[in-house]
This record gives sequence, structure tokens and C-alpha cells, in this order.
Amino acid sequence: VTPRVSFVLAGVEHEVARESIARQTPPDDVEVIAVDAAPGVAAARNAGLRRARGAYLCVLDGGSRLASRYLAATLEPLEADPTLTWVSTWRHTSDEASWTDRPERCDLPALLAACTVHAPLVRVDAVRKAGGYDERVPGRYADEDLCLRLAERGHRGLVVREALVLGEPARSPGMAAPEDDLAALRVLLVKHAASVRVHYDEVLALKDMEAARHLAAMGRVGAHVEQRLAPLTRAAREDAAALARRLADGEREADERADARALRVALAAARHEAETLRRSLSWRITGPLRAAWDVLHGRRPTR
Amino acid sequence: VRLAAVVVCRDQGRVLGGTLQALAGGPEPPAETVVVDDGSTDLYTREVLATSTAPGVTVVRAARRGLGAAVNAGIAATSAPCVLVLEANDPPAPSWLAEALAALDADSGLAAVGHGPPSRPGVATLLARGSQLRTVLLRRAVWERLEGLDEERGLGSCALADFAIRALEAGGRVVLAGPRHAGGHPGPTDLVDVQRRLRARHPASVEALGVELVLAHEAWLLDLRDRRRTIEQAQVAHERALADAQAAVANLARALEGAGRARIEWGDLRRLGPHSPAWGLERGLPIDRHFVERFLDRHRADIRGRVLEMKDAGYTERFGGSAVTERAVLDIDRDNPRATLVADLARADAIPTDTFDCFILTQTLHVIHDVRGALHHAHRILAPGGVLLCTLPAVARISLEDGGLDGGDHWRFTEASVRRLFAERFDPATFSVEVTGNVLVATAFLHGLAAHELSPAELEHIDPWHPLLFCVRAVKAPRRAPAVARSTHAGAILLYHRVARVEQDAAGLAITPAAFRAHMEHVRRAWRPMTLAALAAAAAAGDVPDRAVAVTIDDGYLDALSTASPILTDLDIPATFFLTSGTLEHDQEFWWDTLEAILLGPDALPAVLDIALDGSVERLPTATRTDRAEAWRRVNDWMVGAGADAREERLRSLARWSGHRVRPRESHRALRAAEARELAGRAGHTIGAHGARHLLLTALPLAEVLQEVLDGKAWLETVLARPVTAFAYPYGACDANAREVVRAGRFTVAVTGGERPVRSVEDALRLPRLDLSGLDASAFAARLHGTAGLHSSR
Repeated sequence: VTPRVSFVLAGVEHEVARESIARQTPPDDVEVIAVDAAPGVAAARNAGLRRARGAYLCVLDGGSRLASRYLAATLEPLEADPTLTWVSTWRHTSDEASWTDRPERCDLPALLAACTVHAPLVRVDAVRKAGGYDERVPGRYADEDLCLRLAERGHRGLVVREALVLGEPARSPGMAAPEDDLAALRVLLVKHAASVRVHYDEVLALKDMEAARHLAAMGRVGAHVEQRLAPLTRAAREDAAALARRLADGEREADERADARALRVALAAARHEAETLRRSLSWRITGPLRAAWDVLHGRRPTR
Repeated sequence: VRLAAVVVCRDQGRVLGGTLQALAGGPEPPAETVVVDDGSTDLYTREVLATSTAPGVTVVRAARRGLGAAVNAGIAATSAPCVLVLEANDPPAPSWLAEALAALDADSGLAAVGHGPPSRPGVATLLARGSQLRTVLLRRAVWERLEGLDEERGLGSCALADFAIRALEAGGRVVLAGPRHAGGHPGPTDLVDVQRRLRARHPASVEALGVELVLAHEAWLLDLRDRRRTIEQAQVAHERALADAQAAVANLARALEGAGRARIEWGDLRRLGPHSPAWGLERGLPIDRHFVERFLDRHRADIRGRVLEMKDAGYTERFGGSAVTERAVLDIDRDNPRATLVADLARADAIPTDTFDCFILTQTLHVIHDVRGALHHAHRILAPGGVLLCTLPAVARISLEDGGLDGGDHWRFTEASVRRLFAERFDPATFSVEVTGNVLVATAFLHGLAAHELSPAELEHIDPWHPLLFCVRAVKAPRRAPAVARSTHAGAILLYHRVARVEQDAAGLAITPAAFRAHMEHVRRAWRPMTLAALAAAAAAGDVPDRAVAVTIDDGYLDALSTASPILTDLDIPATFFLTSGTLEHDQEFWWDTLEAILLGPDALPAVLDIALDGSVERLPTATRTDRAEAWRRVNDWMVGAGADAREERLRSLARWSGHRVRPRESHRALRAAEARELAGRAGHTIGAHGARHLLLTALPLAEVLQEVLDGKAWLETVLARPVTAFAYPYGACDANAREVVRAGRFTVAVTGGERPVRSVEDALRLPRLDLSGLDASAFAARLHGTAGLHSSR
């Protein structure tokens, strides 16, 4: 029995990917092929491609996993429309900042302007006819390059507008520097220079549109922080400081009241003691002696 | 004088003051500062710009012609060798300016220093991030050498980047300095368009860059994605800090409650009625009066001559003193014994116009339902130059004295509504709105506390978000002084070329006979047509009559005689026809018509055109209609500035290249000598000169200008056997040389382009014209009224 879909796991974190494939609903007739990524991402993908027996192929690498609806959502349009060659989805990344990449299109200019395919489901025969994965292209652009070549041959793809590929880090480890990003992209663009030339204006315009989106979002966030969050925070902090002061004042007042009460009690006790002393026998006996002492020092006699 | 600053301001009045202060207070204060008002429409900004009194700051207006034009206007108004260009909402850090100046000093080949992530950007980077270059320190010499910024409006916020790219292309150097994350200006809403326009200005660079330009965009996007993530993380941090602070408040509030105390101590303010039900009069000076009286005290000088006040003359007596010659009191209540005038201000037609030098109108407009009507009359009854001193409440209890809950107390105001209300009657440059109050002052006033119960610092603190009342000083426009110009009217000189129905008209020279007749009928009906000579004489004498229009028709096509002339004669409208003398000899087309026929005609053409323009052979594709239109534009632009021989030579080689016979068409030919004589002989028609061969005078050496102008005139006079005294500069282009030659040729009137009306006091040898030939009758009427008519009425 040949499976309908072949999944190739070309990364290291196979378990997460494997589980996510197992959880697809409704479950489908699939095979999972794990390949060693050591010889390079594209070579590993090709190895997987050679072993694939299904009609459709999806390659997961770099720790990606699939939402449970992935297969249902991507298979349906492919089965319904024989002129479609691949179906891709949005991608949600949740490393330190959660981020969803929401490409609108995956035609030739869009593919040239930005990375718009994420773990697409592709017809295996088309991949084979296109010669599999190009091992000269940096691994992260393996799907992009494949779809570009397919698009250049007149094939068509579709983006399902739902984030069904998850968890792939924004950048592969060790490739974080922008210079490396650009060097990898240069390889891809130089390879497809003829298409770039044909769609030059549109590619640049698409890039400008993305820039405009970022700038607008940054402007919105900046304004929100500056005009709403910052004044609110300032007001709350002032409020807190005032309340803390009032609380401290209240405590001090309470302390002072307690001190005063203690003082009053001590005073009353002292008075009481003095009164008791005055009324005592010894005070009365020593009376003349104290009077003589006062006279000696020129003082008015005490009682 | 080393540094000048040009601050471009469009509706950014709220932040302009801070930016100017930052500049003046920095370590490198500019010796000259010019604020360019780029056509602000925001009323507050216009008020700020009109009343700006910052020392050493000049305000220049640039009528919303785009960033390039605004910056050029600003730089032209300065003279320092280094110019800092910035936007009003974006002052650079003080250290940046010092660093940028040092960089210019250190490297004489450096054309400009931009504010951005530190780098030495190439053309690709500037093209990709064009919209982000908003603050630039540039060398005046470079600005002069490059003939300023490109003023194409479509460049928008990319105008400075365009300038930097041109500096690079001219061999200069440009560096960016600033924090790594500099830039990040909110993208203009038209970012995609302006970036595309920027690329279109530098086609060769864009073409040569190819993949590198895509990568430069990607580099910026990497940076942006990174920054966006940082900013969004910062937002999360802010939200966390807010939540922490709010939690702390809640804890403290609980602790206080635990100690038996409330979070807010209302104290004496915890009551449902105010402390005073009568504004606080029994406690002392009501708080609103404190601000009203302080305002009047500051404007004592305005309270002079004939002064009008509402209800009684108390403030007039107190603040006006001996400068007041006459006191008037207005009230709607005829039982008020102090009232000298009884009227509803909203319907005060009985009070004569232009009467009072000062009108004190405090805390009154809110009790008049028809506020606009009241303000209309307040403005109307002021004498020219008179001052309205007005206060309006933002917060106040309902006024018992003015009719109570159901009667007369109608409105409270905001800063924006006050400004709009006054702008309906007064020029924004002639009134100023002062905001007073804060949340404490407003609360105290509602409670009826008196002014002395708050400290001066508490009273003076202004929080525009919680205002108590607004004080407005508005000045009615003074009567226009009869200065040099005796007339304030503006006239128009209309420009036409062809009156014909033509199939092809890429240059937009033709108007259909029906449309031309409609134009002329409107001129006849609504304007006062006169000869060009009469209008020129009136303008030179400073006495342009109301609604004066002169009609001119350029070039001397056959249809001037066959079509335009009968319509003009029919409607009895005088007109001046400007003929090029060189075409009178043989049946000839004008060069532009021939060029258009070859490149844009219906005949098939070779796929490419190799043509020598500007010294090198250019290869222009001509396979498609778009290609041909591009090629036509390129060659046409070149030919406008070319000499006669080069022009003819190229036309011949173009004809050869096209493979078709190019012969003059009857529909496009110029007047023959006999026809020119016939035209000259008709009543109301005047013939003027238009050069011998229709050459761009500003591109010619003096000797050739002389030949073009003087030979053209001599030949025309020979043909017509009458003197020719009017001249139209070919292509409307005129410079000092050309004007001098025209003067020496004894012309008495000469016309250019200019697209503006003729005002009183004009140079008769440089009169502007309006080309409205592309408009239909109603648009023509509206534009003519808008440019010349409205100008007259002001």
C-alpha cells in the first residue's frame, strides 16, 4: 500500500515533528522518513525525496512542527485543483517574541521579494521533474528555491491563510548575522537573476510595501507607548508614590499617637509616685532639715 | 556665519517651538534659521507661524509644492556655507550636529552628512531607504552646483535622498552618522509610490544595480524587522511596567483601607453641591475672572479709541484709561440703563460696519445660540485694524444670570472649536488663542472657590487637555494702504496655440473650435477683454482694471486665420498673434509637429532608434507605443533646447530612419506671408514676434539671441509693412539676457509663461500668461476666477 503523503524529517528535533504529524486530524495515510542532515540540508532532503512513496511531500527541518489541521487544510486544495503544485501556510514563531509571518501570495514576484513558503505540501512528481533540491542553495532557502523553480516552469502555488506551521525559530542557529542572511539571499537571487530582471519593479515594490508595513506598525506601537502607556505608567507611579507617602504618614502618626499615650501614662505614674512620697512619714521627718538647707543656700524654703 | 538651519514645517506647529529651542540651545546654534511653511492648513500651525517671534528665525512660505521646493526655498533664504535641513518634528541630537559639522570640515569632498545608521551609503542604500533620509547637513556649494533639490512633487519625502544620490552620481561623497537605529520615520502613506518615483529619477543606476538593489532593500528590511521586534518587545516591557505600577497602587490602596483610610482623601470637596453657588463671588475673585482680567491687563494697549463692551463698561474703564475716546455698551436687554446699544449680537445688523477700534467680548459667546452669527457681527462692526478681545469658557457651571437651565446658556468650547470658529471670520495669521487652566483650576472653579484660594503656581499651570477658558485676541484686517499699486485688481493674459480639431496632440497645443468659442464667450460675458498693449500699459502704471483679460495666440498656425480669427471677430475680442518669421516663407510645419508625426504617427517604425543627443549616441526602443512615447519625449525634450541646425539635421535623419516620406501637411502648416498680412489687417488683431526659428533663448549665446529676436522682428515688419512691438518668448523662457535684447529691440510688451495673473505693477517685458486651453468651459471659468478674479477681490 502506498501512502498518500510522505513527510521527510531533515532536522534534529525529530520527536516534536513526528508527534505533530501523528496528531493530524483527520488522520491520513502518511509515511514519515527521517534522514540525517549531516551532509547538508538539501542533500538530506534529496535523500528523503528518493525514498518517498507518497504522492505529496512535506519536508520539516530546523525544529518545525505542524498544527493538527495542516494536512487537512493543505491537501484539500491540492486534491480539488490539479493545476496547483504546492500549498503553503502562514508560520507562527514563538521564540522570545511571538511572531506570525503572513504572506499573501506565493507567485514568482512574491517568492523573489520575500520568503513566502513555509514547509509547503508539494506534488512529489513535480519535485522530481524539477530535479529535487539544489544543493548549492543555502538550506533555509530550500523550499523557496524549489517553488521558484516550479514557478519559473509555470507551476502555481497557494497560501492557506492560517498559521499551520509552528515553532520554527526565526533564524537557524549560527546564521543570525545579517551579513550571512544577505549572503544566502544573494546566492538565491543570483541563481534566479533572470526572473528578478523580469519582475524587477514588482519585487522592489513588494519590498517597499513590507517596509511600509513595518514602519506603520512601529509608528503605531511607538505612538501607543508614548501617548498612552507612558502617561498611564507615570500617573500610576505618581499615584503609588503618593499613596506610599500617605501610608507612611499614617503609620508615623499612629506611632506618634502611641508614643504620646505611653508618655501620658509614664507621667501619671511619676506624679502618683511623687504624691505618695510626699505623703510618706520620712518626708515629714526630714522637713526641718530641708528648710535649714534652703536657708543655707539662700533659697526660698520648699514646703 | 557658518551654519544655517532650514526647518520644513507642514502642520507641525505643536512641536516646532521645541525643535527651534533645541537648535538654538545646542552646541552649534545656527546663525540663520529659516522655517519653511510647506503649505500648512492646520490652524494652530498657521497661528504659530504667523506670530512666531523667535529671534533670528525667518518664516518663508512655500505653498505646498513638495519637500524639494520647500527645502530649496529655505536654502535660498540663507547664505551660510553649511545648511542643516530638517523637519519640524525631528530635531537631531545636539551631538549629531557637532559630529556632522566636524565631518564636513574634515573632508572637503564630502557633499552631505545624513542622519542615519553610521555608514557610507552607496546609491543602492539611498535608493532603498530613500524615504528615511529626513535630516541632512549639506554643503551650499554642492546644492548650488546641483541646482538645488529636484522639485518634482511626486518624490515626496524622497527628495533629500534624491539629492544625495545626485551628489554621489556627480562624484561627491555622502556619509550617514547617528545611532545605529537612526531613522524609522513613520513611513509616508505613499511610501511605495515615492520610492518608485525615486527609482524612476535614476534609471541608469537602478538598471545597473539589479540584484544588488534587491539586496539593499533586504538589508533594510532585516534592520526594520529587527527594530520592529525590539519596539514590540519594548511595548511588552512597558505594559509589564504599567501592570506592576497598577498592582503597587492596588496594594497600597488595600493597605490604606486596612489602616482605615481611603485611597482618595476628598476632605472638604466631598460634597454634592459646590462651596459657592455664585461663582465664588462671596469668597473673593472668581477664578474665571482672574484669567479674564489678566488677559485684558496684558492687552491694555488694544483698548483705545471707540470701545464696545457687553452689559457695562467696567473693563473699558478699568483697563482702557485715557486712550479710550468713546465707550459703548451693548446688551440684548433694553432695560439695562447702561446699554448704549440694544441688540442681539447674532442679528446686530443695526450696528454700523467698521465702527469700533476695540470690542471686549468676555464670557459671552457661550450664551448666544447663534455663535457664528455673533462672531460675524463682532467682526463686521470692528473698524479695520480693530481688535476683538474675547474669552470663551471650556468648563463652567450653568449660568443662572444668563437664563439658567432652559434659557440662555448654550455652549462650552474646545481649543479646536475656538480656532475653527475664528478662522471663519479672521485670517489665522491675525488671531491668537491662549489656553488657561488645569484640572485643579477647573475643579476649584466648579466648586466656586476664589482665585486667592489657589497658589499662583497652581493658577498659572497650563494643561491643554484640561482647559478652563480660552482668550482670543483677533485683529480685523486693516484697510489696504494705497501704496505703489493703485489698483488691487488682477488681470489675465490667456495663451493659446492652435484652434483646431487634431487627431494627435501629444504636446497639448490644440483646443477645439467649439471649446475656444465657449472660452471666448465666457470672456466676453464675464470679463473685460482688452488689447495686450492696453493691459500691459495698465499693469506698468499700477492700474489694472477689474476683470481685465487679453487673448494671445502663439506660433502662427494657419488655423489662427481660418478658425480663431472669425470667432474673435464675431465676439469682438481683441487678440495678439505671435508669429515665428522663419515659417512665413515656404509651406512648412513646425519641428514639433514633424517629430510627433514621425514617432507617434500610425506608420510602422524600426524597433530601435539610434540617435545622437547630448554628444553620445542613444539607443531608444521604438517597438511599442509606450516605447515610442518615451522616445518622443526624450527627443522632444532635447530638441527644445537644441540649436536650429542640429534640430533640422536630426529631423532629417529621423525621417530617413522611419523609412517614410515626411512632407508638410496642410492641416499643420504655418501661415504664409500673404495670410499673415491678411490676419494683420483684420480689426482688433495685432501681430507680435515669436523669434525667427522658435529657439529656446535661454539656451543660446547672446549673439544668437540678438539674431533670433532682432532678425525675426525685422523680417516680420518687412512682410507686414507695419511696426511690430509685442514679443512672446519661445517656450515662454526668458532670462535677463533675453529681456535685455527684447528691450533693445524696442518691443514695448513681451509675454512669458508663468501661469499666474497679471497684477498691478508688472514688468511689461515679462508679463505672465495663463494657459487654460486644456480646460472645458466650466473649468476654464472657475480657474480664471480662481487665479485672477479671487486675487482681485482680496
